[in-house]
Amino acid sequence: MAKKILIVDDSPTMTMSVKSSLQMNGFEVKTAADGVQALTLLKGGLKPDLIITDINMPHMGGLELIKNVKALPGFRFVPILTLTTESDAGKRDEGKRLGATGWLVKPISGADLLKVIKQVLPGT
Amino acid sequence: MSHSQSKSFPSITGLVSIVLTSAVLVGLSPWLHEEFLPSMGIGLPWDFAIVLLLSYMASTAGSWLLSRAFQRMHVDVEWPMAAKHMPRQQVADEVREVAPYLRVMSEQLDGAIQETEQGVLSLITSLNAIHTVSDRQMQRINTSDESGAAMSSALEEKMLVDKQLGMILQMFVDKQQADIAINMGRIKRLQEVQSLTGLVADISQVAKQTNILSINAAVEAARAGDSGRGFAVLAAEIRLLSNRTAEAAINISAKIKAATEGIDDELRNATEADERGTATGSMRKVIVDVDEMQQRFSVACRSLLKVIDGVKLGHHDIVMQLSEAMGQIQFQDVIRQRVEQVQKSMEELNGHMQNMADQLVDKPWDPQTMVSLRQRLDQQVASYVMQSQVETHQGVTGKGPTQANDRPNIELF
Repeated sequence: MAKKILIVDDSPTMTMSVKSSLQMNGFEVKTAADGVQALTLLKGGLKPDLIITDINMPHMGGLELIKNVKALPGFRFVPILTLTTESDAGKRDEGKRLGATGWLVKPISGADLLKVIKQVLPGT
Repeated sequence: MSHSQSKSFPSITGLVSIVLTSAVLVGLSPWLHEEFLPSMGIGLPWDFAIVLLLSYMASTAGSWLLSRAFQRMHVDVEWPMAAKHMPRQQVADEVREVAPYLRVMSEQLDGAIQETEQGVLSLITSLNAIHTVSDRQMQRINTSDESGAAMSSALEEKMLVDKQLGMILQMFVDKQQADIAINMGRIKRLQEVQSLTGLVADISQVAKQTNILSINAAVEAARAGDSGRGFAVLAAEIRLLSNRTAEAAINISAKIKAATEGIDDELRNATEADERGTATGSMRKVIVDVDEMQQRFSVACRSLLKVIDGVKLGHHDIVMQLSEAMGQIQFQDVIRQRVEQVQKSMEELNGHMQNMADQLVDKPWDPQTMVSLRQRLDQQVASYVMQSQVETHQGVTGKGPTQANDRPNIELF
């Protein structure tokens, strides 16, 4: 059964390109334009195996989303990767403290993204 | 015109002050000295002080009135021989015009971002279409693969049956060949009957000699007269017996001849048939043909499976290449964020320019609240999110974070 991945990014080109790349490699993908939309989907019953989120987004950024997702029942161990242009070390450490699984800086190649996902989701 | 040159000339108001002072000194001083002051009983020191006071007041009042008049006309008047600076009001107006200028630039950048975004989205759609085509091809190949596997399996079964059939045929051919060899041996052995011909000749010879002996015996019996009559009968019987033996020998010889001729015919026919090898040869050819056909099928089947495997690998490569292309498309988001940061800086620059224009003509200059452009530029570093933005800033200004960012682009916690 295909693993489900939720992509959260305010850039339509990012969500569409990452979604297409992952779908081509057999993943089932859902997208959200910001943290608020993502939380609505999760509270609505979506149970992804992995969340990939941007950091700097309107309404609710990536760090706040990580904090909120980790507080949701049943989501404590769902891995969360950040995919962002943000390279500030302080924000990166904050992400780690909040429970992010990894920090990926854009742009990242398709092969590298798949490699990281395989590490985070064994058996894919 | 240089700034230092303009500073070397007095302003018109200063010139007016000198003129008024000179007029008071030259025009009023003799009159005061001769007509007015002596009648009041004032001495020379007081006379001199009053003249100076009046000339100072006249020059100050004149200068003040002139400067007010120039301010009302919004004109900076300078020494006619000096080159003109841009009027302050015009400078302020020009500075305020920076706002629409920057707005146009910002809108142009917005348009460029939207165009790249639309272009990239169309590109992603095209790449997805390529993947769909390749995916369909893959599905067809999977179907072919299943058909190929089924064909291969059927072919293997058929080859097994053919092999068994070939073995049976081979056994049949071998047995037939062995039977022919045995029969040939038998026929050859039958040819030994021909050796009886010699015995028949011996029997004929014996019969002939017996006949001669019987004739001689009959002659001798006739000579003997009555005493030889019984012997004559015996001789006649022997003669008859020898004649019949000779006839039998002839018959046997004829039959042996006929038999050996038949055997020869059979042997010749069998040998010729064996030499032509028509039946077994055909069977052997069938076996070889079936074997060759199996080999060809086997080669074709392997080639087909190889082609299917090649197409599968090709599809995998296409997916990998498309994934890479999708990753490279992320450049648009990176560029968008850099351009948006530049737009934000342009907005800040506009705010700074408008504030400057206000303080140039409408509001009093307040150095405490007026953050300098250099300070604003230094503050930009805090708003950067990308290392590349920081590096560009450092490259131009030579300033930036003292601590280098050496964290990797991919970091798993």
